[in-house]
Amino acid sequence: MDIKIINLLFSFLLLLIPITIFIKYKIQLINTLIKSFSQMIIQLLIIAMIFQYLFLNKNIFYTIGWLILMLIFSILTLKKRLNIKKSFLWKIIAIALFTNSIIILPLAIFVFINPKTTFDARFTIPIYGMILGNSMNSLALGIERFNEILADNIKNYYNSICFGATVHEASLPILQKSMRASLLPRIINISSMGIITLPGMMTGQILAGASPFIAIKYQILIMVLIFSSVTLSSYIGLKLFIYKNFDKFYLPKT
Amino acid sequence: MNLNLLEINIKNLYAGDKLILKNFKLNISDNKNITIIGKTGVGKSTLLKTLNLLNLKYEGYILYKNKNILQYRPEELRSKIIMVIQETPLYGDTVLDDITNIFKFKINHNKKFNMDKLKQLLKIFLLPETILNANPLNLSGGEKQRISLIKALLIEPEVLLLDEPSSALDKNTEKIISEYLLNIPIPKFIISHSKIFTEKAEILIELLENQTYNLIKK
Repeated sequence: MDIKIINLLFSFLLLLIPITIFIKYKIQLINTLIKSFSQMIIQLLIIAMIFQYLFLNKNIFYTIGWLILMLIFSILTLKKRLNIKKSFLWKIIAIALFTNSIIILPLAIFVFINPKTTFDARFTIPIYGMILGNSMNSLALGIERFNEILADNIKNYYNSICFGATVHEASLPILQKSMRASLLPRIINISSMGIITLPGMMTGQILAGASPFIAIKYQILIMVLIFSSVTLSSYIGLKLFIYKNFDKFYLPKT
Repeated sequence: MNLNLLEINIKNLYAGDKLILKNFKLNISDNKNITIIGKTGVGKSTLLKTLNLLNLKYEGYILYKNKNILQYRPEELRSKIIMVIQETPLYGDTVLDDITNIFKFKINHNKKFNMDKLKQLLKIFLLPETILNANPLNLSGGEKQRISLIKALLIEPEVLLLDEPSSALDKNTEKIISEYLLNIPIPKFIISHSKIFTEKAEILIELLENQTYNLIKK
């Protein structure tokens, strides 16, 4: 069932509630609110037009081109988000996300979903978006945690290498802790699925008229894809970070 | 000709960007006790760290068994020239975990963990065997210090680098442990101002503030 434009516009009146509160309590958010909503509408409009074009044309090169743009955009976002100033960081992010993408996405599309039209943008783009977005967040969390835990345990680290540990042996406890920190929230999230949270994708499918049984099959598949991607990209990212962050004498680079 | 175990020839030694020592030369061919003294900040720890590749800011060379230390794999050199750093943290659920953990490093695989030797060392270092089941977080500074020394001895190093090994010990314990350490038949570099180490050392090195040093052979 489509939403009428006039009804959608009408829904904006609801925003008068936050605006009234902002005015009454002099919370300086009105400009930001208007700016954010306008930006969202424009961005979504552009995306809808692009998607429409990609979905109708079914051109494999356009689709791949769009996937590459998504990857580049996520690398840039992540680089900006991480407040670790290391010149090699963007390369690590790029390699981790790229490797993860070329392993998981083809499996998802060709093996698990297997749509009638090969590389159908209707499946590829949203699924890649979910894989990429989640991998990006966990990778950021993993690298940040690694850096923090290393700083807190730097004496432990030096102590280990003093007893003959290699860089990988000495950083293993730190790797374990940071992987755990980035993956644990995800695992908890999986078990709460359905009762506490109804995921956006499933909601969308159900609203669009799909049977709940089809919707949950997609949801289960997506959770498997997301969790394996998140683990794989965090692992690759952290291993590369360890490799790059220490010199050949296993000392942290300054 | 005497074969040198360790040949140190440092032209300039830096701590960060600061020059701390010039023209430092020392050859060690047998099991000597070398005690290093000097004011705080003069670079005693930096000198020690230079010997096991924890500090690389120097000009000159250090040979171990006639091979430049830079040519060793770091883990190989560090498992032979073992350094016990100050206030070493312990790691793991129990003290025993922390001790056995170092035997999991690949370079130490050929050295078997020996429980009897551990118990013997605990006795010498005046620690009860029950400490092995204690949580490392509950240990006092002196206990941690002794466990770290025991760990180093279990690995059977060829050279020991000790940074203030008795700083957290009471007089009586210090005397017993210092005497034991001094009699281990390997070369030892010891940073310490305690009387036992300064008096019984065969070589006493005093680092001075103007990048020079006094070397007294007894």
